[in-house]
Amino acid sequence: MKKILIADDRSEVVELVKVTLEGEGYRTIDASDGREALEKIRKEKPNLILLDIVMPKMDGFEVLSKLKNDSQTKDTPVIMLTAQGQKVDQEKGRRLGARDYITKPFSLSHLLNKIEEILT
Amino acid sequence: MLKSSQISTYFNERAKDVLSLVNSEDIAGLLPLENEKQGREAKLVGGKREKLQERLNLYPDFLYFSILEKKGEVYLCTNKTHEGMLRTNVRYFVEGKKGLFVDTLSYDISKSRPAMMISAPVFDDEGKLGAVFVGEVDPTSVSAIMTERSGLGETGETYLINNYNSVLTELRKDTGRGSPTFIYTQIAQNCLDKKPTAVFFNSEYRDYIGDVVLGACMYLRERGIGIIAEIDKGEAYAHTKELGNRIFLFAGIIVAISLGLGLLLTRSIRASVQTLAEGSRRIGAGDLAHRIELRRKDEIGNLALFFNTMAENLQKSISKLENTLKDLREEVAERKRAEALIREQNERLKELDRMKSEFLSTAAHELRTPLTSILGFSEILLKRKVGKKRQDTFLKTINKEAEGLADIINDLLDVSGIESGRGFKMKKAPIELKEVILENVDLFKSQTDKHTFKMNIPPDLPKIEADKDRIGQVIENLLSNALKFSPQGGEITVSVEEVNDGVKTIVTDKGMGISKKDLPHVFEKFYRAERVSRLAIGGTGLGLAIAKYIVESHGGRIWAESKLGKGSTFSFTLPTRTSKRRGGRRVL
Repeated sequence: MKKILIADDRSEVVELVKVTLEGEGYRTIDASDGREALEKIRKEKPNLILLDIVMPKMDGFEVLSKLKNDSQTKDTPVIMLTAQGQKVDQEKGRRLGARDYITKPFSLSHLLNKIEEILT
Repeated sequence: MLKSSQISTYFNERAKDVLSLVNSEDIAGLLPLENEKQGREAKLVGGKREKLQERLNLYPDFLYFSILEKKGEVYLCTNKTHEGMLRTNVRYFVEGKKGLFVDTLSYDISKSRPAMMISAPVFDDEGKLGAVFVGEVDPTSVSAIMTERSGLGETGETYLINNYNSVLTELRKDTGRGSPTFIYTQIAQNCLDKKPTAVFFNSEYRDYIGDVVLGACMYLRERGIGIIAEIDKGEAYAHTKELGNRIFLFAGIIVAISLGLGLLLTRSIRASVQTLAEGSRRIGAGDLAHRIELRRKDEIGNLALFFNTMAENLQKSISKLENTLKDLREEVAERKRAEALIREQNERLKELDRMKSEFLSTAAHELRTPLTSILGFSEILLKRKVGKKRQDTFLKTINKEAEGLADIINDLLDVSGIESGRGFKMKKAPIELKEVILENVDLFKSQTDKHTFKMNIPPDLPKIEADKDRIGQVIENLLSNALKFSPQGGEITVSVEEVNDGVKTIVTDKGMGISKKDLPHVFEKFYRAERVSRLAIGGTGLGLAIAKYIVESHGGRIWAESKLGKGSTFSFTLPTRTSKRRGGRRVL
């Protein structure tokens, strides 16, 4: 069973994504800030990470660059999941090594398609 | 004839004096040294000047000696004040470089006396020009010759008077109380009234000391000067015992007059030319206010007039230019001020623009986040079969997020109303402030389990006339901020106090506080402290701006106090009904 980590400071969003992924047979791990996300990723080694940008303690970009600089985590695919819809942010995410970028609000089927695409 | 030859002999002798001086060892030793020019040592020059003075003492016919260096600067002079002056274009320097030069006797206006310069080159050891030596002949020596009675017997003399009967030259006879300054004799009056251009004879009359004399006179129009020659009657008749002698006498008088006249004419023209030269030099050097004072009807006079007109025109043009320049300078200064103002405003606009685009980005973020939940959960509800209990949870979330969205949209509309100047209407009615506060506190209590609420509201609070919903909005905003900015939890206090003509509401938290830098800006719309964004604390930066508008629309005041890391206190006042009436009806 594939493990997916969801990092978002909004519990409603975490809940939404969890319900959706679990309905599709994925296991989920959640984190409500950047630091928690980093810790859980190192411990749990998920197959894929959904990463919000604006988060307390450590923002998504910082988490991403730390992941990419760590040989244990650098190959884990990351999808940025964020309400920052600006092009500059998308560019920054890609430059730091994010596989994809999904802007809030998003359709759940779109999210599932992207995940499936990456994991198979 | 006698006088002219005497003068030329005199001049020749002085010229010889100069020649022997420039060839002497003494003068050669006084020349400027090659490397001395820059830092002339006062002591050295002083010693040389003393030596020059010693020379001068041996030549009583000279007023002063000076040594001019090759470029015309007065290097050394027995009259110290002349040292350092430039004589580059002066004739005695220009001519004196070439060889012995004897200047013609001229009237020096600046010194008000006749001047006579003699100059000659001084050569150094190698036979090259080292300097020009100049000596000025004492004019009194010349004048002595002029007033000598030769040819006019024992009592004869010549003298000059001006239009005001003032005597210009030395007189021979003494009144016993010195020589008179003014002469009002018959011949003087004749001379000044008739202004004879040819020799006018005056028979017996009394001279300035009362002696009976014979005389002749002539008037020089150019200079406005009369020349008078006279001889005692006794002597004249003694001489004219014979008719021939008498003729000789008059011939003598005429010769005397002619001689004086010739000298005077030369002097007059030379003086005029000098005045003209000096005047044009001054004008040329930039002294445009200078006018050449020459009233002659000849070419020299015309030239002077031309110079004066030229100077006047130049002066006018320059003052016009100066005025234009002044105007231009003022305009430039004015423009610079305007530019600075524009730049300042531009900076302010840029800052506002930056705040707005930042606001747009945060606003978009704030709108997208609740929309994600609303769309997502409704998608689940529509596409999947979900149990009744989960259905309820999802619907509650959708509802809560939609309300949050509505709040943000209302804030945006409020700000847009304030921005456009429309504002928003207040439906004022007497309200119980306590009631409004309790409603809001209850609402927030149910949303948090980390915070405790403390209330300090007196029981008999006067009613206030206000828009209940809007005041509720202010309290909600302050409480929401208190919660938001104390994420660790803690006590939130709401107090109300009666103050002059109103009530004061105070909301205090023990949260993160506001920095000194941010505190003055918290009520500005779109303003969000950098720290707030960094901490990922949501918000549009509109709430406090709207609260301020509402409070002020009610005639109240809102302010904040804070200590970083210790917490913040927000206070606002609202006037009570009575004070409101006194203040007149507020139109919104």
